[in-house]
Amino acid sequence: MKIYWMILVMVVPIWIQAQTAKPMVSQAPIPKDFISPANNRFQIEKGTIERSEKSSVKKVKTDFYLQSNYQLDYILKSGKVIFNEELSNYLNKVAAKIQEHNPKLKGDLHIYPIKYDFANAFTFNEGYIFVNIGLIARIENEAELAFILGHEMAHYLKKHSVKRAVKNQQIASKTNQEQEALLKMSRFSREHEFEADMAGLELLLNTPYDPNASITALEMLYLSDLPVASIPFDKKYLEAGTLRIPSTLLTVPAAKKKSVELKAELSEEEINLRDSLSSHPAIEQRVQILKGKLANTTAKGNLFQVATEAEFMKLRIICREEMGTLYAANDEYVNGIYHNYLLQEKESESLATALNKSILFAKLCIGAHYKNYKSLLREGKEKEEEDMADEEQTKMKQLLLNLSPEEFHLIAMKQAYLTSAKFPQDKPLLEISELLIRTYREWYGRDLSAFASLKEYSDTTIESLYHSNDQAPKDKDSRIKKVKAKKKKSNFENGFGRYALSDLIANDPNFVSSYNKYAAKTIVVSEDKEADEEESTEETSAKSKAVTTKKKAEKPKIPGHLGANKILLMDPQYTKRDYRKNNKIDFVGDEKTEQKLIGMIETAGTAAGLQIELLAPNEMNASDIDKFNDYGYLKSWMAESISHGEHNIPSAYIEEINAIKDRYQTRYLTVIFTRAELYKHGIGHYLGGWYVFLNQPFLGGIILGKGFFPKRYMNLVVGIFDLEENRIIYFNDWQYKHTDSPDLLKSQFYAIFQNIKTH
Amino acid sequence: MPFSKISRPINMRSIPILFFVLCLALRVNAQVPGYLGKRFSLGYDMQFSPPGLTNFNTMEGNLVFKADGINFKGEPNSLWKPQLKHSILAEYVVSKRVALHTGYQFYRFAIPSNYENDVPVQDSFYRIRNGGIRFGFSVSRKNYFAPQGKYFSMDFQMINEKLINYVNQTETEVGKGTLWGINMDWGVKRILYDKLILDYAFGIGMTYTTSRTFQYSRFEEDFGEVGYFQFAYNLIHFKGGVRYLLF
Repeated sequence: MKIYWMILVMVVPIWIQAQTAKPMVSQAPIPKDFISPANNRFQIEKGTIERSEKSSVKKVKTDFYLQSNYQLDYILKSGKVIFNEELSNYLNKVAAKIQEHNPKLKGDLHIYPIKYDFANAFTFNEGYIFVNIGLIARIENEAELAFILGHEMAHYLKKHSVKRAVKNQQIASKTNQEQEALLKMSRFSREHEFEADMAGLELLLNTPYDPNASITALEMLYLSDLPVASIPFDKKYLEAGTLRIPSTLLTVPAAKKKSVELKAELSEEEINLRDSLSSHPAIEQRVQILKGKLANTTAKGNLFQVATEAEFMKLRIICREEMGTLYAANDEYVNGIYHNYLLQEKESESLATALNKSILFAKLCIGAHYKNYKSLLREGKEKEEEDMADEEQTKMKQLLLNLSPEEFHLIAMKQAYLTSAKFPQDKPLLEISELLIRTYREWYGRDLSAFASLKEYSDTTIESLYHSNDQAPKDKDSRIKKVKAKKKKSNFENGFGRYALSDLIANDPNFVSSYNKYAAKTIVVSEDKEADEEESTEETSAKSKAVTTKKKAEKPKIPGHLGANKILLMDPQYTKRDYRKNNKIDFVGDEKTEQKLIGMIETAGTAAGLQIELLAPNEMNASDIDKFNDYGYLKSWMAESISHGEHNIPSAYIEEINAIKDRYQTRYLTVIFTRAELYKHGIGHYLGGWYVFLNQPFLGGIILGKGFFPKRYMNLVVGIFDLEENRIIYFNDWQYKHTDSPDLLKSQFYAIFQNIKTH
Repeated sequence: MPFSKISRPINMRSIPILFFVLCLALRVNAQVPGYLGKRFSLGYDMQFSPPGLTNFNTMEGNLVFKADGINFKGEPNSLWKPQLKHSILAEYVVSKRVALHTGYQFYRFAIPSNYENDVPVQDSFYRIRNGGIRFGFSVSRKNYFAPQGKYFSMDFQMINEKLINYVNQTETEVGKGTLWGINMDWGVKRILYDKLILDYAFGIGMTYTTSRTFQYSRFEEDFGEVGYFQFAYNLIHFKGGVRYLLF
């Protein structure tokens, strides 16, 4: 009996950890605006324009409402907005508290969290407020959230966005100089921000929330470019067993940490320098003004919260976990790896964290072989130069830059293998582990005998290995010179990589069998010139003996025959640009044509005998929550695939994609874009037409008559993604000299579907 | 024998059979071409040629003569009174961009038989009735799929002429002829309601008379202009047609 209790004690924490790592997923029912055409909302809003207004103002407002509604539609259907879930419910509870004490706000407000990793919140004129996950992950208490919601509600209450549109149009019409106009528009926008701050504070003062949270909220925004927390970076995060990194590689960075102390006051010159074209005023100014207001206010001191401290912290952890996934999805390697390090150290290593970390390492490792991997790590470089970098994060980044691609691969491979062994039930982790082992074998071709034995390993041996331990030079030029001339890069024989797998080889037969089941292939040399120049000549000559140059990545061939009976289809997109009318976009017309496009595709699919599973929000019901979530995941996955090119790099949404493949029983995802363009005929057309008319009236008449109609072009773009191989496998675009041809499009779709279907 | 034998007559019935066999032989694609899988269409074409090429020089100026069965009237040369050719066609798509077609075409025109003071006399003319098989192929331009979109087509025609003397509302066949013709068209086919093909094109062509025989040799001189008319009739044309996509 005791043993069963022991097992339970061991299993439960793992199970609890796994449960706390549940990702954010929207729940049914889907709100109406997420699955209905934007035109419906636009028509309602257009009806609010008063007849008594000037015609120029009416026009500006109509255009603004049109653009705003379609931008909002884009956001709602991006797959990034969460609804009917714990976090969204919480945001609405906090908002309800503000509304409860401010009757003017009672009405049609919709508040949603949105999956962006940076700290921000934004409002639409239609009463939609979106709060970034990155912001919730950074706040310290609920009162800060309340202030931010109050600020956004103030924007909505005072109709800042539509007022700004009208004012901008007035400025543009009265000001000839573009720069001057932009300056005026920016100033007007900043005035709105001050107004929203004050109004937000007023709203907060009417609630039980601590108004001093307004200051701390702005301070949080000031530091929002930095990681959510800062803890000393320990290279043990990358190490495991006999894989140890010499301390000499951990150079001290030159980057400074941004000051946490906001300046009490900015001079006018500083204000002008910083603001000028900025839509938001300097945070120092905003804090200064709020402090002035608060000085005259009696402090409440109570820390009121809708949620308990534990509940708030739990939601914040969920947001931080989600940020890890977002970093992985957006290829933000430095941010992602350091962020997951923080989660591991401050929270606990949950399944999601482990998976995110492995994915980031795997992606960076694989990416290193197809691009200049240093460019992959260059994100955040601008921040260093602007004096905004976190010291510890920069230290970690510098360490990654000091590693060779093979060393990096070894770190990723061992880390993934050990994590997979820790969570054996997790298939994606196993896939990543296998992928890294296989690619290591293929790219480096090393047998296990090439690694040092366990007896050879010691900490002293590792610390005595190579590498200059100079501090990273401050300027770019001297750094490059140092790298090219003097810096002794490790090669396998002289580096810590030789000892990386010694413990696994000696003690883990599973690893040995996993490693040996993959055949070694000839070593692939990176095409990256900069990386090649940095390598030593010895290393290059050693590799050249057994090296074959990798062929340049070829453009994906048209697959022709996929042998598939079913495909997933994302909602087809249609845009029409009339270049005769200042490139005006007909949002309403485009939306209606997209509906017709769906009909054409379905007809072509039926004729070709291909099953098409359409994922289009406008075609869904409120109960189609699985489809809606799948749509969102696929959108994110597609963005990753496009950035990864033809390389099979794990997606941050690997689990969700595997579930989608199983659910719909297909691995192919199709996207279709059509774009119609209308142009004026050139003067040559009319001159030529007149000449012909004088000689041959009939023919000339036809030519001139054609001039009354625009030149038409239609571009049709089709892409097919393979969910199994994580890449785009077919991409083609056609241009036709006429537009909106249902028969042309249907025949094209039919041909594509035929290709997909046949073997 | 009323007609002198010049050459062995061609067996016209073999052409559709050959067309059908060729279509079967060319069904080599695993994929099904055509518009949404439909490959066979049947319909009507009309070609019209500008009449400017087939007018008469008279003392009163250029006139176009049109025979309506009762009168042979002269009208001023008009661009809006084209010469017409009619065809019944069947088309079959054999591959992604290629379609074969065959059909029967017919047209008629008239030339004056009597003159007074160099002006043709009304109610007395020669009618030339033409009919025959045509067959050919069309190739859709790149990015288009047969039978839809922009195309180029080539047509071969075997035309049988009947030369008729029309006098006092009585027709008498006085001769026969055979011509070969070749046509090239550049056009566009559009499909409506997934069923109807609209076809419009511009084309050029030429004919060659292989034989012409007359009941009486005196007609040879009178019909001397026929060859010219045939050539001009087929030289330039605009085409409009409609077909029904069957399967």
